[in-house]
Amino acid sequence: MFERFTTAARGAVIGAQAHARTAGHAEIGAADLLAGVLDDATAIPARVLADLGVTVAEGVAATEEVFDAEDATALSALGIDLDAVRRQAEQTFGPGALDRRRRQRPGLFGRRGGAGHLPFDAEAKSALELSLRAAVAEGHRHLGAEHVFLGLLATEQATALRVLRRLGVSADAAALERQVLARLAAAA
Amino acid sequence: MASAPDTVDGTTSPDPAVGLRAVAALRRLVEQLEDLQVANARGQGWSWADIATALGVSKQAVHKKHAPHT
Repeated sequence: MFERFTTAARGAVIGAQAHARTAGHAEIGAADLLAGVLDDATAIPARVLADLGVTVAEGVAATEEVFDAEDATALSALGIDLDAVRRQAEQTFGPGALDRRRRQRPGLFGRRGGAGHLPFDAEAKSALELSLRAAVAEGHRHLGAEHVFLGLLATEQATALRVLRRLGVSADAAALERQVLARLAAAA
Repeated sequence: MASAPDTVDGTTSPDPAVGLRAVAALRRLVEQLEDLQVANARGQGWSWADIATALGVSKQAVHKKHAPHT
């Protein structure tokens, strides 16, 4: 499926993998993929967000916050207060004690999980399929980071949109898609 | 947080998406706590064997998972 990917799109996927590892995720999720797409400040997705007043750093940070917030919600359903657990850990072990403990000690060649790739979760897979569909629909012969971004905007779970809402972006998927396509047309 | 009366019960929700998400979040939390506690125990001079006993796993398992590779 990756044969039509441009170097930038491949870079975004590799970046997504790195984000997932850093955050200690077992799979590459849509939020990780979004972070990978936004890493390149010169690419269309980051520039569309810049137009909306969001920097790359803010965008990438928000992908992780959304993930944490959704974990907190899921745990609260079990009667576990993640914030309380974190507070207690920090009281005993210092600030950030609970955060990103995983993958903090990558051995030589990133031993831990360094071998092989992390799998994509269902939403990330769906986003990649939708990115291909978006490229085909627009008659583009290449599949760039901008198409991956479009795929992320189109998933049923809408994680990317939730990340953007968190950043105060109120534009809906269709409006964002128009901006991406406008920039793409301008660049052609 | 989430004191709403309609809060779903994550473990027993009939919707697999909700239940599985809760399990995944719990697993991540467990892993984080394990890393934190094992590092603390090592810092206080605990042996791998003692840590393994406390965790209820084999010494090999805990060593493989947490020992820094050299």
